Amino acid sequence: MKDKLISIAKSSALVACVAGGAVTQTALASEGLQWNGFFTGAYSISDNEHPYGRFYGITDSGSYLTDTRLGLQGSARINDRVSLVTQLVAKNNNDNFEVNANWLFAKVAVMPGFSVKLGRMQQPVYLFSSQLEAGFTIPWVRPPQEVYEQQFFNDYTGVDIQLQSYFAGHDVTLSVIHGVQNNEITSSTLGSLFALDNPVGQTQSSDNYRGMVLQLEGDFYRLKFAAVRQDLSVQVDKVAVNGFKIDVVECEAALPTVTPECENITFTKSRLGNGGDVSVNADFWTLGFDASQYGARVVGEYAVRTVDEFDREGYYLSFMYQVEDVTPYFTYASHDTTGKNVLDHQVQDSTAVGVRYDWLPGTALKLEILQVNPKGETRGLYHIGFVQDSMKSMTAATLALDLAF
Amino acid sequence: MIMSINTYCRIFLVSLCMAVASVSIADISVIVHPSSNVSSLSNKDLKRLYLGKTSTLPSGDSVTLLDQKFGFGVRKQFYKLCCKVTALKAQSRWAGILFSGGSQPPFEAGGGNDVLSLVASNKRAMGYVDSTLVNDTVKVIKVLK
Repeated sequence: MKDKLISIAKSSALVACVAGGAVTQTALASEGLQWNGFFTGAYSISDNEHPYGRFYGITDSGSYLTDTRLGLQGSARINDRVSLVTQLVAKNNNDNFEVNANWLFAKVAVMPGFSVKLGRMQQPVYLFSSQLEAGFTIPWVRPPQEVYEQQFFNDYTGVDIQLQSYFAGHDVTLSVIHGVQNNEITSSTLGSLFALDNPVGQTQSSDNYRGMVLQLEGDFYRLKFAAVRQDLSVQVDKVAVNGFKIDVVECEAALPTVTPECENITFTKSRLGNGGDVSVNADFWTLGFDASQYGARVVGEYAVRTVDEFDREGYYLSFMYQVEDVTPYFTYASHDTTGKNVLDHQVQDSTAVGVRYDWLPGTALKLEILQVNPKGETRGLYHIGFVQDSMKSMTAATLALDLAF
Repeated sequence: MIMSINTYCRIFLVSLCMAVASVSIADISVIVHPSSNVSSLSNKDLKRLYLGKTSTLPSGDSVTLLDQKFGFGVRKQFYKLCCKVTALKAQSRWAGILFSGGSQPPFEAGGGNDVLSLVASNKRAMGYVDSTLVNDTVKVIKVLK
């Protein structure tokens, strides 16, 4: 009840901000406080009863909640050198729309080409990671999960020191980032989503997140390289890191027969004991490019994450061709893992075909058909709780309306 | 029969001229406040400003960019001449910059007269208008043809 009241209060606050923003906008000239926003309304349905994706939850029942969200961004120019940006995003979490601050930072322009951001920011590791929630700004309904689901966190709180230079027709940007991260996955969320009797919750955090991002941009292309390291700490309510549905007692009773599940439990228990936490280093790097010319556009990214001698890598290639207001696209993506923890293996590829129609200023309609194929007797990127019965292909269709205002 | 063909030819030529006249747009002038230190701007610098790659002038001074309303012919022509992109693509690019926590897009002032009056009353403002609208309340720093 208390959670619901808090959620309602937060939602009301966002609506009040939207209303206030609309009033403020009319009174604005070109400087000072400005409000902007974005909205995505979408319906998704798949041919699989199990929710696909870490928390997307696309099932054969269909849902309006999976991709629907509202964002409101306020920017205030304090003076010539200092500005403030905040972005509040309301999106579905356990059938409630919760509001979170994606951006909350002050930017200081120390001198031309040298700026410092301080506060809460989105991780700048992917080509589109800084604008993920604003569907209007990305070509697809959602970015390929094989690459974009590799990170534990979307945001961090800290500093971003940025150097920018224009050299021989190219804009070169170097960012050095440092901060802390925290991501709490509550028991109630997991319990509702996966219909478990005794759900577990977990908290992932990193108190020493650091890295660098290098971007090169010309007239027709953008290249981005990012490398970050996290001192990762995972705290779990019960004995399980990933295995929500694994019965420890039953598994141990079956010994010495070692199934992959039991191997995972033994491995997990050796790290966690009966609940507790585990600390590991996580290294992550990405390389992406985005090139367009004469209406044709090619986007691709490659990402590798290493955690405790367990590697996962993913990539995608997406091709688009814009004809007036219509942009059809095709995307192929792949994900693979290597490491000794058998049950954690996730191999899959996916193909997506879609079309974006820029209907009106700030208004785009998107239709996307996504087919996911788990491979190598693994669960692909389905949640581990469905390891036994989700190893089959899934096709999902999504119709989305994206607004930017 | 011959007269008839000549008549058709004349009608065709007149129609062609009218069609060409209807799609041709006058030059576009990039304007600033008369007291601005800026006297000219290179194509490269103008493009970098209006595509959000920089928010300052080559001198290091900040500038407030103005746009005309989306859908206006002048805006389409400006982005085509200045930045070699469609107005739609420029809008999409600015949305990406904005919601990445970056700079504000150019302020959408309205039509040419609105841009003219805002530039005339704001020392930092820069905008673009159909050259036929230019008067002595603003300074022209570039003409796009």
